[in-house]
Amino acid sequence: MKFASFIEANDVYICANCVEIYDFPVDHSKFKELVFALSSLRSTLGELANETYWQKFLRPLCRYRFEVSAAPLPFDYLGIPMFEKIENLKEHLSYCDSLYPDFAQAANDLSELWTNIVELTDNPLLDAIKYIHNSESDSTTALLIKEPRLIPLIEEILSKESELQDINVLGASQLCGGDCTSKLIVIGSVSWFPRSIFYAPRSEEIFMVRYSWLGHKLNLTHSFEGPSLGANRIEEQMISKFPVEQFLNKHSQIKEAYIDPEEVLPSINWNEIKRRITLQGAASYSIDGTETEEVEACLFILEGGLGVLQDAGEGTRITAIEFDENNNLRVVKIPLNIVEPGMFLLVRTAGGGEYIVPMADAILGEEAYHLREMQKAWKVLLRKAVTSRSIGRIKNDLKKYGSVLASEANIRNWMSYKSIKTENYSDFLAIMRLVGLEEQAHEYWEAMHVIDSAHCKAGQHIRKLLLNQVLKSNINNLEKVGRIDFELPETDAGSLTAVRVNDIYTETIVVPVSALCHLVDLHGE
Amino acid sequence: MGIPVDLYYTSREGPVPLPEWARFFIDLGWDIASAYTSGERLILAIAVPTRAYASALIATGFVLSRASETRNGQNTAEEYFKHLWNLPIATPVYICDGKKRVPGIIKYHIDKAYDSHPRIGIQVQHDKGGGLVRYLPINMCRIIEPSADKLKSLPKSIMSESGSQYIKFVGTIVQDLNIWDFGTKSCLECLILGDLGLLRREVNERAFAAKGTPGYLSGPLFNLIKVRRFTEKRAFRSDILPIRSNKPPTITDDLVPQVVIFDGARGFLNWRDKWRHINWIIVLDRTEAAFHDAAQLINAESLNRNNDELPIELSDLPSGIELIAYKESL
Repeated sequence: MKFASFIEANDVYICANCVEIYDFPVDHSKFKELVFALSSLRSTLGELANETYWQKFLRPLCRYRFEVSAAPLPFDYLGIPMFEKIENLKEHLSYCDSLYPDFAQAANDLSELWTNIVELTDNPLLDAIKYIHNSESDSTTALLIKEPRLIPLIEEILSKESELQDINVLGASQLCGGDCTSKLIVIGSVSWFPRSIFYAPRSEEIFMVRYSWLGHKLNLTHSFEGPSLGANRIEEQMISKFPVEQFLNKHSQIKEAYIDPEEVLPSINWNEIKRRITLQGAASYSIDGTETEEVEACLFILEGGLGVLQDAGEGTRITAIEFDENNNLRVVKIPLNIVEPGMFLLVRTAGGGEYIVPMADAILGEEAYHLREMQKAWKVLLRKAVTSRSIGRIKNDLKKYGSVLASEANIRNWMSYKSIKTENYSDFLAIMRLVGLEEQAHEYWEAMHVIDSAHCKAGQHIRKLLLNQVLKSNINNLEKVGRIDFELPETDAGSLTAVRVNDIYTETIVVPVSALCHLVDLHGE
Repeated sequence: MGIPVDLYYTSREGPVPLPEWARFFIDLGWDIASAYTSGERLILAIAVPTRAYASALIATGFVLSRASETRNGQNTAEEYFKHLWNLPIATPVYICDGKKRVPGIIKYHIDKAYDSHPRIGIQVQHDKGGGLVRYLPINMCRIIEPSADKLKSLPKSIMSESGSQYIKFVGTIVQDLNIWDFGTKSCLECLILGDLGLLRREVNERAFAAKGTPGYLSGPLFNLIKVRRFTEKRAFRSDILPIRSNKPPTITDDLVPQVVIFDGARGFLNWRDKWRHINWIIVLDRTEAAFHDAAQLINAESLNRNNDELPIELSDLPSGIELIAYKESL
């Protein structure tokens, strides 16, 4: 949360008291035709729409429909690459006659409509913005976009219009502090945005600019049940702002003239994500055929339709970047359960996995391979022992061998990739005795110390470099777009990316360790 | 509601009366202090468009209400002033100025000063040093303490009045406060759980003012709620605990607050079970990611309520605020 001064807080309450909300539908007949044809085909296909064949065609078209509906982009904004993509998809559709003859005509017609529209330079949403912004020259205007990754593209478009260059383009997460504006232009449906945009407005006037076929769908319930006050007034304000025929309760049916706004949003392709994770797991079996470690992980839903799995086990700490109360960026290492939407997680930009390990290996130098093999060796043997007998029996055996801290939780921790060695030598010696490496126990213990030390140094070094980079960063850009890449010089950590957390999927799934910390495209592309 | 808290804030145009929403929070805190009895606890949650200053202002109303003499049935300032007025001229006294006790004698009784209010003149400096006299009105008379000792002589030089700005600020804002008690005695009336950095800035920002003579005296809310964490071992009336840790926020001694204010959804979601037997005030910022989770949980908790009546009298809420309040048996 950002600090807001008393005066800024007062401005927020003034907005809450006097906000006016306006519905501003725009029309484009050809785009409307495309949208309804797409909706009709998907409806006709039913379950078939989820099949790989149809997904290849529908997914990019749905993505196009969403981006053009959710941002003031001209229909030809993707340029030549889009023409090429459509040509490829036409070839894909050429098999439709034989594979799905009942749907071939509709699919080809849709493809034709798409071909026609991507050649147009029209931008109806931008025209609406010009009209609204120019009506009072001394007011400040902000433009709220559903998908912050489109902000740089939109800013480029606005920069070409002299009268629109002072418009501030924002994502929803930026409308939470004390900064208020005279006008807020919101692109899309009411239900695409958090309720706080309307219930805790940061502007005196809100203009909902949307294509006329895009319905609104807002669940107007009180925040509190039981003995409460204040809710009715907020509801009355909301209901009075929108024309009744366009305002739909979540329980009512969408009228034929409208497309359900939920249908237009990109969906998370859970099947694709699980498939990829499963494939990664299958590839992670080690050469000797033993399973690699699996952990409970939770999915962080990040800005730009990305996701990352993080180890949900107790004791997991991750590096995050957040704004402090003075609106400065700071690097923090925090327990996983403290991470909140709005913070920025640090992940490797490509390749995934931990970024400390490559750095530590660089510190270890030529010794790295040999030391890591030793680390793997005793852990694999311990894991085998636990798999073949029970963890309870292993606990008892370790105690017999002199372990002081053997417990089921500690044994899991010792097996885990997260720990490098035990705290005490007596516990480590007991493990060595158990797995038949007693004679080399001291040598292994020294080796683990060296690795541990390298990890500490790597962590400190990366943190220091990261702090330097963070201090130089364009904070404004990070806030808007929700993502920033860092190159850490003199390291083998590669490039790192700080990405904003939008949501946390609390249901955990079991995944191989190798699936952790990989950036995943949640929309399956 | 007629809450006797006369606080201003420093706007872009200078000191102005508190806006409606800020006044509402102070009044809410004031009323909550008398809204519960033993054997029950009060739970009150508010949804606000911004969390800024909500908890700090509620805490201000609560702490001042608990310290108020009228509320506590103590002698009013008027009664005490009358008692001092009846003491003979030259009676030795002390002026309790912050941590210092400055010796003096009652020198004058002024029926009507420049503002038409009576004052007692206390000479605090020997005639040879200048004979400085401090003229104290009714609302500051609590800092005068009759001395049991015989005064030998007044000092020729005056000690610094570092505490007097604080006394004037606090004494002007709340008329029937025992300034001496408030400034020197500690108790934990209220505990705020939230983002330490944000709360520190809100509590320490000199964004507020009291009417002085002339002009205005600026001061922070800290002077009114006296947060232990920031008092450097001086008297306190409240404390703030940070929530940014996986360990539960804990008070290090045996003190039990009268009320816990959860500043934001996260603190409430994570740590509410630790404060089950204490009155709750929950401030939820609508723009927080965890707002809906917290609201749902509060709705579930409200099933334990004793009845459907609102436990405090409330007039219209300021725009943008939604509130739920109920009592449950302990």
